[in-house]
Amino acid sequence: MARIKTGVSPRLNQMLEELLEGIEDGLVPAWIFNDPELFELEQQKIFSRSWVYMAHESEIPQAGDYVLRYVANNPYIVVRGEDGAVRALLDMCRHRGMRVCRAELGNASHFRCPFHGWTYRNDGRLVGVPAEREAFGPGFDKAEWGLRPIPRLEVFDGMIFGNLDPQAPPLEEWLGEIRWYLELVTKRSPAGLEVLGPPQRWVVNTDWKLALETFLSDSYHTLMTHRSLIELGIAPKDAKYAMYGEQIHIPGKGHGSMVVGAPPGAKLPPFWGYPEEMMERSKASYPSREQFETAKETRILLVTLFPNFSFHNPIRKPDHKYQGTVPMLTFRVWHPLGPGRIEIFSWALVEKDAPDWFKEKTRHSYLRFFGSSGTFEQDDTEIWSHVAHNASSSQGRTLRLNYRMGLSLEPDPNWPGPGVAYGLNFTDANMRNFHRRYVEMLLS
Amino acid sequence: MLTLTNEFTTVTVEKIATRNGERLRITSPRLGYSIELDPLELESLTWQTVETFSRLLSTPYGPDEDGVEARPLSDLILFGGEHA
Repeated sequence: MARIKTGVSPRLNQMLEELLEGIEDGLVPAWIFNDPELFELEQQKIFSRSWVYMAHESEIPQAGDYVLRYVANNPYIVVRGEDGAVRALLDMCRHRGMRVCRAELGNASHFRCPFHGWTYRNDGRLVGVPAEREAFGPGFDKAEWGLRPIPRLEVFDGMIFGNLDPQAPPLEEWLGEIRWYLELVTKRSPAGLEVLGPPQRWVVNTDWKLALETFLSDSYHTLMTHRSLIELGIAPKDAKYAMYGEQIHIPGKGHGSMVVGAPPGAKLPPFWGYPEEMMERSKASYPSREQFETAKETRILLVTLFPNFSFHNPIRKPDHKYQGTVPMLTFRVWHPLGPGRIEIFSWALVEKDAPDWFKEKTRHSYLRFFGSSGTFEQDDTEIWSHVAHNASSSQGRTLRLNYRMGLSLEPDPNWPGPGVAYGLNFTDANMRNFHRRYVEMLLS
Repeated sequence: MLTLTNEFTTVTVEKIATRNGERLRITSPRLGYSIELDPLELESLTWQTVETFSRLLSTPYGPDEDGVEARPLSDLILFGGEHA
């Protein structure tokens, strides 16, 4: 019990002890997927101290472009100023606390509060106060009343992250060796990525850790949850197709990746099935030869960053009639709204210099499989919500769930990338690594 | 006529023919203000920085009226006032 700090209730203390004890043995108590007290602790210990993905630079390319994004329960205006700098400003008027911007995206040089009209430039400075002289007199200094910026903001290859903790380590240190896997996508083209429109968003009655797990380690669910797609001939015939890959985690960080190749005997084009010209361009674009050689053999790539960002980049078809393959890329944020309730932010992205026909087709591949009405997406959300419901039931919450898959696997010594890799993707190794980091942050 | 809108306001912009030339009319339907700018005035906008517009927006709903003295309501109340 010595490892657990006081400050939480004896009930939660005991439950955290149970979680901590079970990790190495592959046992995870079901209650962690739906508990009000744990939710509050997560908000405080994890989401108030982690680098959280907010936006992609291509969402706000020009001066004044902004999007609203959320870190823990705080709304932020992520905006490109007239000076070209990207900022994240708390969407809360310094006068009486109203939101100064209620549109989820737009373009504005100034934000004018709808309550009393205090007006801020898009770099956060307060510049206008109605009836300033009469209402506030000569001692009033507008410089002291600007919008509050997020404590930390950093960008990696176009990906904008925010952190509520002024003492947080730099983003580069936070990411660590997962960068190698991120770069398989962010550096696939020298032109970088762009979003295909605003994110689709939907609310699901589940826990953020359940949704994330599907993208971090659970390749095993594809053979059952998505079986109908195999039966329709949309997914590969071999139901174990997601098993044929490496599962890699970054110890101490909580991040992980799944790199899946072609099932044995399956004839799938290399390099996710991207057009050959894109594969050629990537040769010079990737920082290392190992990354190019890995990308060439990849058909499905998933990366998850602790705590709640994932991307999924699988080979797909835009429709059942299309001859050939068109892969898709989706960025995800699993944003916790409350116990057993999340909002999913889902973007489609593509290389900026991809051919126009490809951009259109990849958008279709995304919408039909992983958009809010996509086939894979609907399969998953239905299941996640039932698990979260059971996790809060009086009997269900006392069960310990089986995270023992792959416990006997040895790391793959020949894997060319960093981190700890296992040569078989049917393992819970990434999730065990995630839970180690999760508990460490909850208790620190 | 062009209409430009964001979350905060709407303005209309139209080219106006005068007898011997042309101007651009910018109108705020909500506030009731309107201005007609000639090419030279418009050109001078092109080298402004955001500072200029922040200064203009220091009164976010249009100009404060100068020289209007705010008098306490009690001045107007007869009982105990100057006419008592």
